Amino acid sequence: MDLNVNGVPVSTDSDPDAPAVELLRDGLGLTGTKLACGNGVCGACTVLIDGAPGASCLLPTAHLEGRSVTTVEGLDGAHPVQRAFAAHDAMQCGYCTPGFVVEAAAFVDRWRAEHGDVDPGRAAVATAMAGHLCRCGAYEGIYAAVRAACAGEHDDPASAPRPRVEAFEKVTGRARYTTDILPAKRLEAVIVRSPHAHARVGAIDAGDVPHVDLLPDDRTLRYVGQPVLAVAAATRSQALAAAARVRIDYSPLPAVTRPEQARAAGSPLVYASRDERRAAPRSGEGPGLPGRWQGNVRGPSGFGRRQATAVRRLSRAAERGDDRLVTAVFTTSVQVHTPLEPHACVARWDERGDLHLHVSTQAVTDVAEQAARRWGLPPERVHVVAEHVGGGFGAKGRLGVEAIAAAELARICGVPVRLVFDRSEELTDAGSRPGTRTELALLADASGDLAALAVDAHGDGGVSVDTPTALFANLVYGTAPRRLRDFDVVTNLPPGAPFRGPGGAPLLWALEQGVDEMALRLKEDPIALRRRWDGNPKRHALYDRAAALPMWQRRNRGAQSGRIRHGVGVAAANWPYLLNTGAQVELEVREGRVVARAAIQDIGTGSRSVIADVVAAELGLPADRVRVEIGHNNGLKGASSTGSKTTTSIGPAAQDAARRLRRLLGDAPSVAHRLEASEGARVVGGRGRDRHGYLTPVPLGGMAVGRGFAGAVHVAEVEVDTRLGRIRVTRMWAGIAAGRIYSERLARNQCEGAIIQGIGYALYEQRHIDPATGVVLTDNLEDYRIPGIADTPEIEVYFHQEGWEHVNGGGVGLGEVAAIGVAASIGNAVRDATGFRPLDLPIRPDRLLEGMRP
Amino acid sequence: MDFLSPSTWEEALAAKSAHPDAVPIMGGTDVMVELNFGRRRPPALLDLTRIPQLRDHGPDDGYLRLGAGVPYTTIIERLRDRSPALAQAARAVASPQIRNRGSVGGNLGGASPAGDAHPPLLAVDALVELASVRGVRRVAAREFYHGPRRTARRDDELISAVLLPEPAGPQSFSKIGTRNAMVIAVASFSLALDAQARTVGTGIGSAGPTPLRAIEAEKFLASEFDWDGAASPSPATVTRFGELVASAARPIDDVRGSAHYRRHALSVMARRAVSWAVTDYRKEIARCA
Repeated sequence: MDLNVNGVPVSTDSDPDAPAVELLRDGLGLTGTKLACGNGVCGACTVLIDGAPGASCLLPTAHLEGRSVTTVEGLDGAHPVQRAFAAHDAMQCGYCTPGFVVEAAAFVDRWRAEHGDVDPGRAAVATAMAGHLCRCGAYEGIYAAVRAACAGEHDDPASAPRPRVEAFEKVTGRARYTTDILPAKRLEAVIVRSPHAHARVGAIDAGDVPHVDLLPDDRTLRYVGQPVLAVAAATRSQALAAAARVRIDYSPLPAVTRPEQARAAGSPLVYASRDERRAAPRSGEGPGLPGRWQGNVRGPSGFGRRQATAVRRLSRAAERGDDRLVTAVFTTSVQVHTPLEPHACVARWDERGDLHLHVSTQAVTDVAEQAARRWGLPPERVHVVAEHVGGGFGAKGRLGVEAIAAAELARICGVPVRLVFDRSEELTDAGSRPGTRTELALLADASGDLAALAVDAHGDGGVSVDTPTALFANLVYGTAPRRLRDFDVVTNLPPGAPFRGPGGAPLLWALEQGVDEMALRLKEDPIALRRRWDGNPKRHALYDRAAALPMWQRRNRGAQSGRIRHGVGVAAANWPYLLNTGAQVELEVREGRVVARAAIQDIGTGSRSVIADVVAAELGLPADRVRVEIGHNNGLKGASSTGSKTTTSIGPAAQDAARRLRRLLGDAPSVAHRLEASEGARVVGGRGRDRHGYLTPVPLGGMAVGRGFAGAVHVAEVEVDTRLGRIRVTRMWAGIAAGRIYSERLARNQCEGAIIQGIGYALYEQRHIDPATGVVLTDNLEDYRIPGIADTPEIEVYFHQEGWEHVNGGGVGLGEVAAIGVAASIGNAVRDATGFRPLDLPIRPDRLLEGMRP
Repeated sequence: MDFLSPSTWEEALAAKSAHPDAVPIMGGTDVMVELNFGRRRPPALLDLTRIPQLRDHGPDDGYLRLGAGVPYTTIIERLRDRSPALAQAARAVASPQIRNRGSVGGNLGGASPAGDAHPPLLAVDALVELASVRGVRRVAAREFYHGPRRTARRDDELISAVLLPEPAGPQSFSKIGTRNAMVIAVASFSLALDAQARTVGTGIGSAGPTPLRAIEAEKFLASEFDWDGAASPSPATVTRFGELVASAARPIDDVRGSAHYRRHALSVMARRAVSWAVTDYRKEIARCA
């Protein structure tokens, strides 16, 4: 079969029924085209076929015969929209970027031919980009880029400034992700997963296919989709066929698939013995909270202040029917991370016995340490690479089953083994934010001050435990008496994982709506009430800004009638400041440039750019004289991209390294002039200590909790169609108090993406289970609904940069604090518009209509 | 799995006759999803993309004959006036990438109740043309859908075209999705008025085991509609029409929506469709006057 790809004639004998994306990626090495959903929903695989965009995952290879195909590589970085994407930072992790760029190139060309060089506006761009999903939520930049390219603003190849140093690699498809590592001689592995919600495994007969056992020690499977073993074969389809031939002897056990069922007396136990309970996986990222077990319920792990006083005040207020007592039960659904790059690993053992792992991870150094421990290797003999990472959001923080299985199979087979999850696996067993059921009680005294607070939270994290939620209510609204209790309810469902502000998002969904309700009871402006209750001076600055916003000032007062109603809501957020105290950056002068190295990775937050910007500014160098190499465990002390701590850890280390280099080279006349003569000069900078030290006296695993809390205030404006129950977020303002902003556009992009994910959490995202079988039903991106570009409100982000002078570098992380309050601000806006207080996430149309029924 | 690539229609019919279990594939937008996730492994795929006449469209004895493989994009761009409801539905299909390749024939072949093309075909009383080595027959869309993913098409038949009657009155299609961005239908509704015959057609999508008609609602509106002056129907009439449409649905609760919400959404869409129809009808009267 003959075709033309990017202007080059190609002959192939590929399977005619295989999807074209396989030919392009595996056959022709054009890995800019990504396979992410396999459903034609996400658009990451978009290519042009005779000039028209098509989803290459749904395109049989046979249909390319005689056709002319253009992939992102064929645009050659020369299309104006590619420059526009780079200039407007229309990306984060970049995994969806090639698909967006290809579609946008076709749209821009057609638009300009039909309309001339004019701005098409947001609606036309949304329609054109409807077939693309960006899990990072970089839609604001995408709107700006496509509109500017249509208006002819990026025709000049003289490059506009690019806020993100790797932008060009991402818009051209040259950025290499783990899934793009395709060694010629390799095996492809797939995981055989449990079809039972609860079963004991007897004999396994895998025949002569190379395989590795992935069962837990007790050979008991506790959810549908749990790994049983992995097999490897020359191609993925052969591996799938081999997997289908494996015979496994299951003895099914009774299972529980709903938290209510799990809590009932006499229901089957997920963990029957103390040993089994001890081996339960954790969904949290901290050291883990203590808790007693009773049946399938673990807890409480209790926190608080003057707990007895809190309980007494609350029960008395309930007895006397006090109007200043707000109580409600809030629930949140399980939210799945589903980064567009699935979990993936390519493992290889070299002739010296060193282990090489290409892995899609948020933590190259942690994965290397865990691998070294697991396989009994000295740390320097494990080489972890994650050059670009297609999103993580918390789900890629550990050495996972993809890496374990690939490495074991590579050892057995003596060749590199590649293991990539498909979207169904990614949506079933690759990480999710546990659901919650939170009972909230909030009492104000006669003067309107907070008198008592109680939070009982039950986490729904499947087989996993440790879902602290109530705990975070210790950090807010002064020192009023409070009782905060966390429970886990285990079920035979897949385990949770840390997800961007774990615990914070579900707590604020309850707490910030409770505070809003209190403001209504006290007939007080919700911002004014928070300002009174919240002692944090940095957030005071945000409250003042928020109160002055036109959308806040102009908001509707009183009940509305009519089909379409508008509302404005506010929510505040508070989040701990974490850092890696030992993070290092190394600088070396090479061929007239400064090469910066760090043992970190970039999951889309822009870590490369932070280092590059700091070093270039400190040394007075143009951007092209600094090169950043990250994504390897290179012996330096690193930082994982978790807990919003990468930038605040690595920024000061880069600064320190740059100062050391400047001292080494001498100042005069300028560093730039001395680089040529200083080949090989090398320094290592560290993350200097904060003034007054940290809250944690000794770093745990290199991590410390710093002094102060990052803060955020979100103001959401919604439009509610009360007839169809549909909610549209029309505008969102985010005030962020995280101190110094290292790279303004990238930080803003993070906050915009946080809002998009918050909108998904608030309105759409819900993992559905078949309660009879425990099967995850929402295992595709059609039915697990993440927000698309048309769901993007107009967003404004304000950074309050003062108040962090004690922190080395002056700034702390913001990726989580910018996300956790979003849903509550939308809930409060819906209440403002309709009078209905949404208690359950997501605020689905049917729930809204039901709630509004008189 | 065999991959059959006939280059003429006669070869395609012969291949389907010889391999009745071969799955036809055009744009791939339905079939490839099932292949990608191993949900279906048919013994053979029958590739119809090389057969040019499947992409033809033109007049045919009072009908618009639309080849089964005409992509949605073509319907939107070139056939809007000749098939208003279907063109609106085509615009609501997924995304530009999918519309460039997906076709009405594919929707009919897969017969998913969520397919956007079905409600307009029901509402306008379209015909589905089925062909085999035994000959060609035309089946009313209203007789085509038999059960979940089961249709009047026999195993040796291929869908060659749909035939749309000349529009004789206002037509509309609306769809409720699951989010603002690209969506699969939670429920969809199409309404078509025939001013000459003074009849009303309806089509309901995503709210039953098959695409459905609301026959009671059709009769009711046909008798209540002011065919001469297009006076606005009373609120009670509009409400009743909405109720009748909702009660014709046979929805279930699933991950996309609850049965109750689907019925509710249908009644809202049906009421809105009546008001659009009245407005369009009046415009038409004014234009002819």
